[in-house]
Amino acid sequence: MLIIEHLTKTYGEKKAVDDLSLHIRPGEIYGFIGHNGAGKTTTLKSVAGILQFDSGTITIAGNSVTADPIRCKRDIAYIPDNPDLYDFMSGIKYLNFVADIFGIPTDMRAERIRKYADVFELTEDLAQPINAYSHGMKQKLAVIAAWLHAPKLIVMDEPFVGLDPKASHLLKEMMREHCDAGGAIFFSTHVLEVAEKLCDKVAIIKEGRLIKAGTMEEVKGDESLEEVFLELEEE
Amino acid sequence: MLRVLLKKQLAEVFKQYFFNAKKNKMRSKGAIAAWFFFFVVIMVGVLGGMFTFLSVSLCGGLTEAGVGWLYFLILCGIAIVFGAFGSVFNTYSSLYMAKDNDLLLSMPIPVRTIMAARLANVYLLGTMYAATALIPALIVYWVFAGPTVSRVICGILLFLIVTTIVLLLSCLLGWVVAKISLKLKNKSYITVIISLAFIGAYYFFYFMSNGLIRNIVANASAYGTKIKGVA
Repeated sequence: MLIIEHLTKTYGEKKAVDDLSLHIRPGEIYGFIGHNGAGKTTTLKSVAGILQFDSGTITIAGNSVTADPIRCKRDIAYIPDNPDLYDFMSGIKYLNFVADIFGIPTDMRAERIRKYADVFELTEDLAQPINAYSHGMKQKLAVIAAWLHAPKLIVMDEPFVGLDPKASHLLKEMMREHCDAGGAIFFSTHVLEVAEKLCDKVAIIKEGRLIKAGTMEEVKGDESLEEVFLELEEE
Repeated sequence: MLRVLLKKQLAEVFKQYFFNAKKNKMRSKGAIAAWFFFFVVIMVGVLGGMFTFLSVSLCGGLTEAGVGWLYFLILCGIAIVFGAFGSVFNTYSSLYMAKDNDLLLSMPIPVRTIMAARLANVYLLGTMYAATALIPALIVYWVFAGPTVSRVICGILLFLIVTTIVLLLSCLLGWVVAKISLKLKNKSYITVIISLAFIGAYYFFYFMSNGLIRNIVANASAYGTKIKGVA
């Protein structure tokens, strides 16, 4: 589903991502963890086609992000860590805007909006302006917008920040359902307990370099993910 | 897709008409209609009326003196300045300080479509301001001189040329504002000072306008000859 090969991205003299390679297969929830400034967001944005990178290749469902960005973006959804949605729009207008961009037919979008808005208990707030939403509500709206066009790959940057426990639980269920149906998820998180329980595979990045990657058992063994992460950070 | 983006851009420009920031609520349809009606009254009634008065004051005298081109030079100049300065802050925020780059770039929208939508938005806003001066100028001229086919076609071409100049100037001024605002420390003070300067300049020219118009009309031939000499 997602193949990152020798990705390198530099900001001025600093290498934010240094020769990173990852493979994510259909059906996998892939966690991406690292300290602040490790290169997680840069990697995710490069996959989403937002950032141009210096070298390497990123392939999504067989299509290159650099050679065929539009095709790739049709197959993915990206949720940033701090969704900057259009404050002047109502929730429903924002979702219709996203649906228009992805060309989702009216009846299909109405059904999906109803379904996911009910899941997150956001239905009654959709008519309100986004400016009146809390951070958690904006996060829920961003999640609904991401699921709207049934993408193959969902890329999320710290998706659980701001979500209440019930919404977090629902999001985890949606992530699992999405991957069980053949999709894939690539997300970063600081909440290692969530990553440990949810992810099929995990990659740990430090100062732009991949230091460990594999299935949860391969990476953590008998220790907890937190212990493994802290040991690797100290090395 | 361009239509969807343009609709979003225009909604953003006119967001105060749809959204009550104080109450954090969307306005009712009646309130939205009232705000737009007020906007039309200001643009067409007040500003359009002001420029119609100016056009009527200048057109007859200048066309009779055989310097109709001076009439268009003055009114097009006013339209360009009004259009460019009227839309510059919208240009600055939508072209140079856009906050939705990540959102739009993560979606299957070609970059050229994003840019086209933003430039179309800048063009429409600049045209809206320029048109308050230009359309009365053209209509008054057609009334005075007679609306022949060639005059109407030339008028439309002039409109397109002026609005294109407004677009280019607005983009340039927006870039200057962006460069300055990156380096400014006390932005709010500078904004107040610049706003006061503009208001001062407006009232200065407003009070001088009657005298200026009379002077231009009385000495139309002389001014026309001088400008031609310089050109």
